[in-house]
This record gives sequence, C-alpha cells and structure tokens, in this order.
Amino acid sequence: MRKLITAFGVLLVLAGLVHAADTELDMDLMQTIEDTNKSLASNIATENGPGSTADAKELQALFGKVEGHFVAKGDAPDAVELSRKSMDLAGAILKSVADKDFGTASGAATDLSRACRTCHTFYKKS
Amino acid sequence: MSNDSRRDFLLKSGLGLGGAAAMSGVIPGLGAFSAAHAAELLDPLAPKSPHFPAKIKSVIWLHQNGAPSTLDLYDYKPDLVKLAGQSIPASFLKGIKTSTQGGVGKLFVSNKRTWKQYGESGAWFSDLLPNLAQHADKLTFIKSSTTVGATHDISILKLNTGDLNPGRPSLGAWITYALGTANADLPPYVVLYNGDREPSAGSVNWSAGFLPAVYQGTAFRPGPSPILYLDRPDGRNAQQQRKSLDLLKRLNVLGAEHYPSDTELRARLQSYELADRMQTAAPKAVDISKESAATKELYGINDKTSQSYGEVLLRARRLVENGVRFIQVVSGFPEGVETDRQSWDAHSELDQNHGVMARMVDKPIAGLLADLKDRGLLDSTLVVWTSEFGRTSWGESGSGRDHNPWGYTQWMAGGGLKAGFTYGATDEVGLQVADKEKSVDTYDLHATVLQLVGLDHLKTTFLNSGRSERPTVVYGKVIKDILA
Repeated sequence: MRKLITAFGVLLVLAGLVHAADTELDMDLMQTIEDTNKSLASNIATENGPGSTADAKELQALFGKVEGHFVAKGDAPDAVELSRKSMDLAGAILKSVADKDFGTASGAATDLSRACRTCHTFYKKS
Repeated sequence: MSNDSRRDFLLKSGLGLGGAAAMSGVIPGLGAFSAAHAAELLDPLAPKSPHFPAKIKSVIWLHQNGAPSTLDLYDYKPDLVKLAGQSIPASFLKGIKTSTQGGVGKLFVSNKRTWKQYGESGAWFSDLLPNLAQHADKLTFIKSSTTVGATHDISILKLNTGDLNPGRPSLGAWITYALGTANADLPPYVVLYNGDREPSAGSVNWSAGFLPAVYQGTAFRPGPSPILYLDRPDGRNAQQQRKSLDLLKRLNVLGAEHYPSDTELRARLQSYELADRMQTAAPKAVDISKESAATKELYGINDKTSQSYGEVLLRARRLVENGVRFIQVVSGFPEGVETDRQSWDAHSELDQNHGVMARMVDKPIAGLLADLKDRGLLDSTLVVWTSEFGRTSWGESGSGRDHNPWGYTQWMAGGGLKAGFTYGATDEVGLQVADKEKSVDTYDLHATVLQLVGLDHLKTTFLNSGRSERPTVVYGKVIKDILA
C-alpha cells in the first residue's frame, strides 16, 4: 500500500512538473524568433529573395507554436491575437517578396517586430 | 635635420618612390586602385545626397540627462492631483513590472507646482519653465513616449544608439555616414555638455559603433577653450605644418592600402586634415565672447545657474550657422550648486532638484528657439528635447519620483513639423501611454528625425559582417501625424 501511495505521489509531482513546463514559453523558441527576425530584416534590405522567403516561412511556423502555447494557456487572448497577427504579417511578407516588392515587405517586417514588442510588454519575463 | 633634408632622405630611400607610385594609381606589389576608391580613402565625409529633399539641415539633440519628471514640466494631470497621497489604483499598473525600492509608493504631487496654458495651442507648462512656456506654439509635443530599461546607462544607450548593449552607432553617426559633412572645416557631428565632467554614460553614446570610426561624434569641452591644442606649437609655422601633413598623408594613404578594412586608420588620416582646417575655422565657430550682451542675456548667460548651459546652447547655434549636421547636447549641472544629484535624477527632493535643473535649462532653451527664429534658422533646424525615460506618478523617498519608461513627454521644434501640436497622451495619472497605438519608442523618434533630414530609415543601411544594419534596428515608424 505504501509503495502504491509513493508511486502515486511521484506521478503527481511529475504531472505537476510537466504542467509547469507547458505554461512556460520556451526561451530558445523566442530567441530563434528574434534571430530569424533580424536575419529577415537584413535579407529584405539586401533584396535577397530566397533568404527572405526562408526566414518568413520559418517565422510563420514559429509563431504557429507561440499561438498554440497561448491557446493552451487559456487566459491570454491578446497574446493569441498577436501571434496570429504575426503569422499574417509573415504571410504578407512572403507575398511581397514573391512580387519582388521589398519596400512593402520591409514595412510588414517592421510591423511584425512591433507586434513582438507589444506582446513582450505583457508576457516577457524580465 | 630640416624638413627639406628629411624629404630628400625619404625620396632617396624608396618610400618617396612608393609615394609617387601611389599618386600615379599603382602601389608596388599591390596593383592598381581606382580613383573612386582613392577618393573614398581620402574623404569618407564627402557630402552625399539624401533619399528625398530634406526639411532640415541640422539637428540639435538636447538630451536631458538623468530623466526629468515631465509630470512636473509639461504633462498636467488633474486626476493625479486629486488622487495625490493615495495608493495608485491597480488598473493603472496593468501590464508593467515595477521595481521601485521599497515598493510602489503613494501618488505624489508637489504642493509647490502650479500650471497654466500658453499660446494658441493651449499647451500646459508648470511654473518651472516660465521662459520656455512663451514658445508653446513652436513646440511639437510627443506625450506618448516609451522606452525600455529602468537604469540610466542602458536607457541612455538605447536613446542614442537603439540598443541596450554597446556596439551600435549613435543617431548622429548614422546621419554623418549617410549625408557626409556640410562644412569640411568642422566635424559634422559635435557633442557638447556643461558641468565639470564628461557625461557619465560615456562616449559610447556618440560612437560610430560598427560604422567606420570617422563618423563618431567629436566632443567639445565646456568653457572658453572647447577644443584642445587649437594653436600650433611655438616655433612651427603654417607652411611647415602643411608640408608635414602632406608627407603624412602620402604615407598614410600607402598604409591604408595595406589595411583596407582599418577604419581607425582612415579616421586618423581624416582627423589630421580636419584638425589642420579647424585651426582656422573652429575658433571663430565656437567663440561666443563677441556675442552681444543682449544675446548672452537671452541665453541666460548672465545668471550663474543657467550660464554654463546657456554658453553651450549659444555655441550650438553658432555650429548650426557653420553647417554642423548633428549637435548632441548633454545637460550637466550648474557649477557652485552643492547637491548629491548632478542631473535631473530626482529620486528624492524633486522640488529642490528640478528647481535648479529647470532654471539651468529654461532660459537657454527659450533663448535658443528665439535666436534661431530671429536668424531665420529655425525652419532649417530641428531641436529635440529628449531624455532616457520619464518619472513615475508615485513618489519615492517621500519627495521624489522613480524611473518611468512606460509613458513620458518629449518635444521637437523646427522645420517640417506641425508647430503647436501634441501627439499622444499618458493615462489619467501620467504613468503609461493611454493609447498604445500611439506609443513612440526611441526607434520611432530616430525614424522621424531621419525623415526630416531626408533619409528613409529603411534604406539607410550598412553591411556589417554580412548583415544589413539600419539605425532603427528592426523597428521604427515615422510619426507622420506630427509632420507638416
């Protein structure tokens, strides 16, 4: 009986740790977003189509993960909205780059950076 | 050995041959180099065209060091007055992380503060700025300023370079890089300050960062001799100096070809030539002794408290007249005033501190605006009042305010702006920006200044280790609503 209770207790602790991990956004993910965003800005400025496309696609995927995190969190509708906005902006950048309109792409990239900062105001741990 | 004998020696020993070869476009062992490359080697400060017609020619960047409480200068908040002495309602703290020592205090208002509206714009000014208030209709307020960072040094760095870490160029360096000089006899980017010490945040705030070093700011000292070693040493005449510099230039050009990426060498090469030209041009540009008594009084130079800052701003006006592109003025502290705080950083005793600091800057800045206007220079000059952040609505130490990066006021005046206009606002207690869509971060301020000098911040780029960099990092939006 004692062994059963102990095992159950261990399971509870492990479940708690997993849950705690789930509520924390992966900092490596956010760093990757930041680095990719800077690379995107550079590629757009140098009118590097393939580089801009690769970065924008990666950002779309990464913001999809951010969206998933905040949807699961359940109490951050503004963060969910910002994530979706960021995905939309990444999509807009892809279209502009495909049209070789790097001026519009640059504006959208700046808006995307601002969306990141807005979200950080509320959700970035200092 | 005389200069002529030295030259003969060098010519015969072969360096002269190398020099002659350099002038003909071929370096022995290195092949030919283009005339354009040679031109860049010789003059990285050559004037360059902006992206579109500029509204202004010069910027006077008035950094109020230590962060004044704009709640006590420009941002009148009747609700803050009503709630003074009470705890701040929780709704005002949503979305911010506070770090005040001892915790968030009660809302604070000085019982000495009075407020009035001025001019046709009806801009609010406190009793601390009676002279500047007379120029209300010249100013374009940005009352929704924000930034990040809660300590001076990193936020000052962000204010000037766009990053919390050292290594990026300052705004003045970017403008110098993009536009070159308008007067070959003076540095295009000058730093001025008053007080008995250099600005504590350091020269990293006027650095060229990853741009070639030649674009960094040149600091002029306060007082009657702002430039060291302006006079030639005794026993050396102008002709001798010119010959020495000519030989040095030939040797430096040879050296620069061996080290094409050494921007420090290029900057040094330029600095010798500029120093030579400055010996003639600079004394006239910085000498304020011959200004009229009326002008000196206009700038508050006859008042001990405002004298040093007034002298600096009068010097700034003369530099504008002489085509200097970016003049970064860092506020110091008046001499002879005993206090622990030598800046606007009033964590305690705000009334005493701001009483001194406001008196130090009020008349000089008002005088600068009036003088620029009278001389027909205001329409081609941009004056920027700025600080690393603002101060909190709650008190600290019972008589001061803590740092506030979430909502504060800055202003601009000059060409290309809607004068007598206010953009954005803080909330009812002056803590955070009320409408986040109107937040103006340092990047947005930089983008707007660049716009006014004719530069698109998205197209002002430099390739640094394979990455394209721009002044606004990956951010920045021109505040179009304040442009005329």
